[in-house]
Amino acid sequence: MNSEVSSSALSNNLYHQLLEKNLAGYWDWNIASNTQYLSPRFKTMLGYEPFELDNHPDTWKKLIYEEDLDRAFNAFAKHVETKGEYPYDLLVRYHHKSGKCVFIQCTGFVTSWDKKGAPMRMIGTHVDVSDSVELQKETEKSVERFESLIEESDLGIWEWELHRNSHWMTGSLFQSFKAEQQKTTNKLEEFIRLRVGSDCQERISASIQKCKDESSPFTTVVKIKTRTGGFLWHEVKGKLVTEESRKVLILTFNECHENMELRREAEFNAFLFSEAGRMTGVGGWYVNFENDTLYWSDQVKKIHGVPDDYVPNLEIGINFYHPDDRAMVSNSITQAVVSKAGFEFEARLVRVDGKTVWVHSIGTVVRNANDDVIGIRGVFQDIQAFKDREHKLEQSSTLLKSQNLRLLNFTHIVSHNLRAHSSNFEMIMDVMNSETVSGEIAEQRDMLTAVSQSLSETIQDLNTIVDIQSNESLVVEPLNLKPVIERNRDLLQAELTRVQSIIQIEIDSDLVVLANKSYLNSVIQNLLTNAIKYRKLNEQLHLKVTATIEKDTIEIHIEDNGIGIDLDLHGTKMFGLYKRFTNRENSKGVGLFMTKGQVEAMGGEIRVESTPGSGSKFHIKLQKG
Amino acid sequence: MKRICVVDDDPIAIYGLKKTLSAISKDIEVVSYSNGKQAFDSIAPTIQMQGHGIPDCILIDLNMPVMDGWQLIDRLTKLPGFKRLSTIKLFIVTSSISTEDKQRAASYDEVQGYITKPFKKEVIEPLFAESES
Repeated sequence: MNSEVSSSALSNNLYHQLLEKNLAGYWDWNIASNTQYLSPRFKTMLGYEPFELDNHPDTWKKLIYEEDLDRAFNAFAKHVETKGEYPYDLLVRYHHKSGKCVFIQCTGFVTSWDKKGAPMRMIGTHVDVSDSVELQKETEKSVERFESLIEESDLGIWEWELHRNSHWMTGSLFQSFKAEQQKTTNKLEEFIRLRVGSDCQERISASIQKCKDESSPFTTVVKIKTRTGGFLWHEVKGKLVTEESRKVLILTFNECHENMELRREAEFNAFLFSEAGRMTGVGGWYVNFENDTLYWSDQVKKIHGVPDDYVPNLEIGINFYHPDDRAMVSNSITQAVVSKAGFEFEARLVRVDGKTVWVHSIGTVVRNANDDVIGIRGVFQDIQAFKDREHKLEQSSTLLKSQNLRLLNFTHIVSHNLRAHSSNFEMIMDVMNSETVSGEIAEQRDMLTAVSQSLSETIQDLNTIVDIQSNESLVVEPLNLKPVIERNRDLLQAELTRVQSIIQIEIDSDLVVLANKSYLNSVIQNLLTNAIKYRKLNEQLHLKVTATIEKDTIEIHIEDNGIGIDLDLHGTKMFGLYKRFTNRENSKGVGLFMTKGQVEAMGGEIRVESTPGSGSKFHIKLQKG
Repeated sequence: MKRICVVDDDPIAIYGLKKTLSAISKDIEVVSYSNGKQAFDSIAPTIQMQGHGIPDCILIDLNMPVMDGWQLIDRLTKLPGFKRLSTIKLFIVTSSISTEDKQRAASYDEVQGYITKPFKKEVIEPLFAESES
């Protein structure tokens, strides 16, 4: 066989051994006789023993991937056509005996041509490149995976090979930029100009320049324009990598907008805290039980009168307190830790300069995930100024109280003495009136009697008012409301009958209020009397007394259909002293002032609703008995 | 004959009371004292002796020099013989309309009433009508 001849011709060739044992299989195709030698290495490459495959030109055609066969024919045709100028060199796939795919780099050339220029003989090699193909495929996959990961993340990578001025970038950050700026030479400059916030451009350009020139890595934070026109903060890291003679500048862009915003917010809060602290004398502190350390903010240090670089510790901390307050401070903190709650105290602090200042301290415990107390933190305020003011206020208050008391005593004495005189006056007039006189003397006596009575009434009012205002120890007791109202109605029965009024009392008999008996009588009496006084003269008076219960109070409602009061006009002075809203003779303008005073002295409230021409409704709220 | 003691530092008030009482009945003897001490010194022995001159009624002003009305009431009602003499009636007659005074007066069982000046015949009269019955 020809193939055997060929084989024996090459058998001693060193090349043969080299190829066959180590690197590649080879083939020798006699085109004219259509025979082909296939070296054993080629056969073993495909998982066959040498004897299992024939040395025949059709053998390889049966084993090659059908899809690659055309490429092989085409390459051969082109090689022949160009008289060997176009190399026959292609990567094709073969079926391994086990079924797997074997990548083979097939290279060959025509060694002899006939006179007509047709190929006579062709030889070549088969190299199994499966490993490198797989590797390349893996690498490609990895790159693909990496790129898709980058695309999905907020990370952007920019590589700039300085020598060739070639740019490679990946990440969604550069997507639209890549498309738009295909032809730009100074791509990075352009990116900075178009996409980086104007206030950050100079900074990042300087960092890049320095990195290029001095190979110093950098990290900076810049604003990058988003597609929607907003800005997102990105952390940019840059470093220069040198590989042999290649210099590559690698920039990573990492979106950190949220962090940055949080940081800016934290910075702002810290600023607020420090400024507010400076203005109000409030500082922060933290006791860390895990490492037994104590932290004081600058303001806290200032309050203690220690320098900013002072390092406090737990043992010394307590000694700043006034000796009389130490136990209380210590107890408060211990209690807070034991109960896992908080504390609040005011104590005296002895500053480094010996000055004693009042401080206000509030703290809460800090717990870990297991709910163990790992620290305690809080705020600390210098309240000396408040204390000073409080002291001054107390002094003023004491002074005012004593002045008020003196004034009250004076009023008391004056009003009492006046009343003693006026009652004597009235009494003497009574005695005189029991005598029979006539003529002018009788007239004068009548006038004196009238003056005496007016004087007495005025002074009595004055006394009542003084009494209400000065009575600090008013006795209030539970009183059954309904009988009180009924008794007052009975006392006024003659008058009520005279004016032909109708009075309805709709009150549950078990309602009990906390009140002073005489004050409550006076209040009810006064309001009922007012209703009679200020009735409509052309209409029958309807009076209705009801009561409603609230949580802790009972409200008494006294409603009439009298002339009413224009509250828009008189509302604010309704319960004032000597306020009269009608020209009726018997209106003195004292009643409602006293009534309000009496209600309030019992801890109650009084208000009124009224419509001129329709009537009034008074509401008296008292504590439930 | 009823014996009424009036204790008041104000002569005009005593005058007025005497006039009012005499207008009520001719059968009344009015004895007056210008302060609590004077009254106590005179009345106490009669109570202790349980003898002649025990008043049927004492009208007491509150604000008086030396010994005021409250002190007089305290001392009289603490006399051992006082409780046994259920016939003595004590009234406060004052120009004070203070709630505090009224509350304090109400705290004494022995005080029968609180009359504010100027006292009217109509107010005083029933008190004696009651005591007669």
